[in-house]
Amino acid sequence: MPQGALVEVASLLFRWPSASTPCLDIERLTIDAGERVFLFGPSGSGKSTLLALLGGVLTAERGSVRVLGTDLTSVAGRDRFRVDHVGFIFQQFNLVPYLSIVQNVLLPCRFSSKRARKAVETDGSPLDAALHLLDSMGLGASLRERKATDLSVGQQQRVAAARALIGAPELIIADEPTSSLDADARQAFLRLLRGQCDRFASTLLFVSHDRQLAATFDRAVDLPAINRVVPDGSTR
Amino acid sequence: MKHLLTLALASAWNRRFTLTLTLAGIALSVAMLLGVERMRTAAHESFAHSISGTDLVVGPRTSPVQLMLYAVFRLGEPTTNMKWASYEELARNPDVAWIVPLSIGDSHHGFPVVGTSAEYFDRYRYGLSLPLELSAGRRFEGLFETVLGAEVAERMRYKVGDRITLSHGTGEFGAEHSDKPFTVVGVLARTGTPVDRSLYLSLEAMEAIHLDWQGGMRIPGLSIPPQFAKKFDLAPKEITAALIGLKSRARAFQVQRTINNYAGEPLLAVLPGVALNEMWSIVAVVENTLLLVAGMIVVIGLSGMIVAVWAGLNERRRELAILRSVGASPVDVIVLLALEGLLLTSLGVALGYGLLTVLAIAAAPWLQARFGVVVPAWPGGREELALVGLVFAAGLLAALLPALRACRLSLADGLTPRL
Repeated sequence: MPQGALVEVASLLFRWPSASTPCLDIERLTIDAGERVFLFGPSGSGKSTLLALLGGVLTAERGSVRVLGTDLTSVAGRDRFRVDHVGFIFQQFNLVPYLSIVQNVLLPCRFSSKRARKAVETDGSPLDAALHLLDSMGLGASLRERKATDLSVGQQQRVAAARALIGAPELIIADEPTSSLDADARQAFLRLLRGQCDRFASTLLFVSHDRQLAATFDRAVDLPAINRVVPDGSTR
Repeated sequence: MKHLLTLALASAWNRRFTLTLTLAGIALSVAMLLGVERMRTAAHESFAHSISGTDLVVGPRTSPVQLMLYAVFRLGEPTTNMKWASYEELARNPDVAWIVPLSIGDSHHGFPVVGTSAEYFDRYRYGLSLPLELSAGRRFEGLFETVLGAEVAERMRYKVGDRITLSHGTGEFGAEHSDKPFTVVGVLARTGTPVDRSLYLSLEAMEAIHLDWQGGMRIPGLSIPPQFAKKFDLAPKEITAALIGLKSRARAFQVQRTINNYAGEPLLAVLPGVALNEMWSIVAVVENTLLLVAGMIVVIGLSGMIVAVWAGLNERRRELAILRSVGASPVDVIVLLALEGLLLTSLGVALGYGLLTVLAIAAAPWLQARFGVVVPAWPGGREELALVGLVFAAGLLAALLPALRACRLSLADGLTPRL
């Protein structure tokens, strides 16, 4: 398993453009390569904002966000960096409605030649990698050419996981991926996701407001505890 | 770029029902704009090609444009005539090389009948000084003989040897000169000018069919059978216009002035080119208004596109966030939306062209017969290309509006659209 810090957040301050007070103010957050980290935070605590910063979708006002040693606050081509190294899974509505399931899974390979190349390394071709992943996620061949919107929520989340994992990105960020699933489906999803992260040696950052899930992870991080912005907006 | 195009296509296909309506709007408006432009060009060309080699057109005093319209283009009707004596006086003018009389006013199934001299076939020139040619038969020689334009022969299915009767006046349902039928002795080759729509006979024949007529009515109780017509004096008393060729073109203005100051009766002489220019300057206002209206309709069509794409944006915020998460940059988002707009515009222009081509082919016989205008079915000149370019530019601009909004939304949303 790879060693060393994969994610390093230092002296981070972020404020939404329309807001007068900051949303996040984090002194330090480190995730080692290969770790399975559970990030806890109630809704509205800035979880999704932090994830967007880690993906380079948003940029910090101050401080640094390093992923694989690259500072996302300064690097041009953050979008490229994101797709090359990070796979995202959201709470729901993860899929592009007008693409087939396989096409949805293949999306990262379309935007990143690095992900496509890795998919070729693992399975011979991006398409084979996508089919293999869908298979591993328990989605049979009969579903593959269906429209994404025809699937149940649980099935959609597994397609999203396959898309996040294709081409073996170093970091998988899952933003409340199980909150719209029932208890059985939740456990099954977590098992499948962890299994695939092991296969690709991907680091997993799993975000939820549900503390019960924390037990199955290497480490739990309490976002309200490290974010110096208190709910009323002032800084501690 | 290729994957963005694939995405744009798939996304547009997913919303094909809404977008089809938008597309129909753009296609119709483009067909209209290009149609107006093509009609305009076609009209200019057909008018400009209708007469060449004639230095002056002379008629009773009226407006130059009106004289050109009825004498050359066979549109409208002359209200007064000029005396035969004036014609003879003009023919004696030393500057005049040749003069051809025209007597217009009767018709045959809506086609104008022109009384003239046989010299007309030698003197009249069209296009780049092309002479008239017979495709069948010969020129008229006898009294009740007629030569047909190509369009008349084709549409009425007449051939040499057929007997036809003329109508009085230019309406479709004028009283018939049924007592004096004419024999078709010749058919002219097609010229693409008003000549094709005309029937030609001698001035004497024109007099003969009106022997027993007065004031536009058959004189009650008087009927002169054709075999007796020759016994009457058939020398023309009046004509409606005359075409003049000069020995020296440089004398055109002097001769024109002489004719305009003719003491015998009020006459008008016009230089065809000058009169055409005057006509275009009058028509230009209408043309420009039509083009402007057509342009506005294109703007409306493209606004429909902005509305359709813009209205769809809110539902697509999630989709855009997903694309951002798999590596789409803000610029990619703009390109994606702009591609969609360009796609719609291109399809709209293509469909508009198709529609126009179908319409042009379908309406061509009618336009040619009715107005003598040949509207080409295939893309025209540089002005048309320039218009298409303008439509594309406007389409791109129209596509950029929702694209920029999408980019702004996507930047504000990050990965979690706040719906």
